[in-house]
Amino acid sequence: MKGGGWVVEQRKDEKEKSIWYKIQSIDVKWIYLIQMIVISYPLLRPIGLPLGTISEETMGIYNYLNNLPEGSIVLHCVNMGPTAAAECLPGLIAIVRHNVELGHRLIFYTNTATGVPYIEEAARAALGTELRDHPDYGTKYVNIGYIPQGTTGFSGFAADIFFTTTDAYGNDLKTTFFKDLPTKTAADFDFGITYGSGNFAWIITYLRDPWGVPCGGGIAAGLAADAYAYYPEKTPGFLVGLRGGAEYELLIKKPGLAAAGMDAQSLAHLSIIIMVIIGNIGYFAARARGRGGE
Amino acid sequence: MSMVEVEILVTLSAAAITLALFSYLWRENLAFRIAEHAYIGSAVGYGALITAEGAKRVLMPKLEKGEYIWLLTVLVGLLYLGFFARKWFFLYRYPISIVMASGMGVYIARGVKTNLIGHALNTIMIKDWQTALLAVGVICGLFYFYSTAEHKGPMVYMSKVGRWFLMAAFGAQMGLHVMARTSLVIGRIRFLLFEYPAYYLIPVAFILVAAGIVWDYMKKK
Repeated sequence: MKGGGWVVEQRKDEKEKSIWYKIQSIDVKWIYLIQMIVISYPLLRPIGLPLGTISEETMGIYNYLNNLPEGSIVLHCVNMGPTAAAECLPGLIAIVRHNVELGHRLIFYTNTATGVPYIEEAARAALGTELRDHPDYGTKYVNIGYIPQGTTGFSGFAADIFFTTTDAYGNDLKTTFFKDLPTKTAADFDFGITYGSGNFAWIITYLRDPWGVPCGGGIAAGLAADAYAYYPEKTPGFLVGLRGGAEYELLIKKPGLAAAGMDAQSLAHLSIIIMVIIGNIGYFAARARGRGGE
Repeated sequence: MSMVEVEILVTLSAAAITLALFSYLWRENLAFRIAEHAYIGSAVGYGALITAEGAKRVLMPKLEKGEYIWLLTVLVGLLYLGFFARKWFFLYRYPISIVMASGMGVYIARGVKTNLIGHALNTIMIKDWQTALLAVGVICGLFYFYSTAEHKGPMVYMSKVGRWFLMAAFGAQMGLHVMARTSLVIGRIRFLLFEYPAYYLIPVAFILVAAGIVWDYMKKK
């Protein structure tokens, strides 16, 4: 028994020394370092890798917004936090820019506390001024701000637009923006878009289905698989992560943060694919050698 | 302190916290722990403040109209404080159950129609080969989790096909998650490389990590 154990130990040592075994167990610190370099390089020196064809979902939301008549009311639900901002904020800025160009009336709203600063940031980037200081604030743009209790809070707002009576800055909601709306409910909106890492289903469940408002999204890539369940029956389209944002920036011919980040995104993916291939070569080679030895 | 100085200080703090959190990639360390606690603390503080402001915006107009019945919601909210005392802990269950019940009520009214009936209808309405494939995937995927009877005959093949569909779905989900996490790193690296004066902290962080690695090595020896 003792001798047998020794043989097993010796085989284990030999196995651990083999290059195929080492390939499979590279210290993760090196992988992180490679990723850091691969991401930093194209940010410092852009390569200009092609983005490929614009996806159907991005084209869908772009075309839908393009075909809305001037002055249509678009609700922007900025439900994002720092975890999703890097990939969803560029898309939000691009869509707001496009809406401003088309002359739509925009409502900003969030059901997450962390969404508040991103409303301001997107408006600043698209309008060039602070949202509250814009001359059209109150007539073309309004910021409802944060309503607590997530979808329950949103349901209250959808059933009665004057649920909070004031906007995020304390102005009376009854004065200008909502003056000419017929029902003063969410049914008056022409389109709703949710942004961030919250699930996509909520806007379909609480806005599209009960109020008949078509909805889209600018969602974190990790949640895109859930959103496809509603496409194309219940949504004309949505932006998937940073790539969706980059596609939208190209469609409106205003390349920005997302397009600039796509080189880094592509190279990072390429390096991950290469590492997965190397790891698999190591695994299969080690397995083949193991079998040969037996 | 001028506005510009405040902005510089904020950017430097953000860069320091980002680098301290990244330092976890080397190993768990004091800088990471400080940044982690500061992040959680500030997130909770910010969330509490914004939520209180939001609640005030919803409540105040009703009180101004003389609808004092809404003050009950504040009382129910205060019951959450029962969490901190063993004697009054039971009170904490009331607001929790009210929030859960109202959330469930709103969801059942809307969610069942959209996410259960809606999805089921869309699955069985076969229009083209893609929707047919989807239907096959859903049915076989459900068979994979069916444990009431032993998998025999055609059920074996169906659950195998279901497993392949599930693995394809998990693979797609994983790929999208990698894309999402890479975007996060891109966002932080972009901030560190281009935001003034964040990039001044990069060499400082490298020197500190290098010193840490040397310290570890010396200790090992």
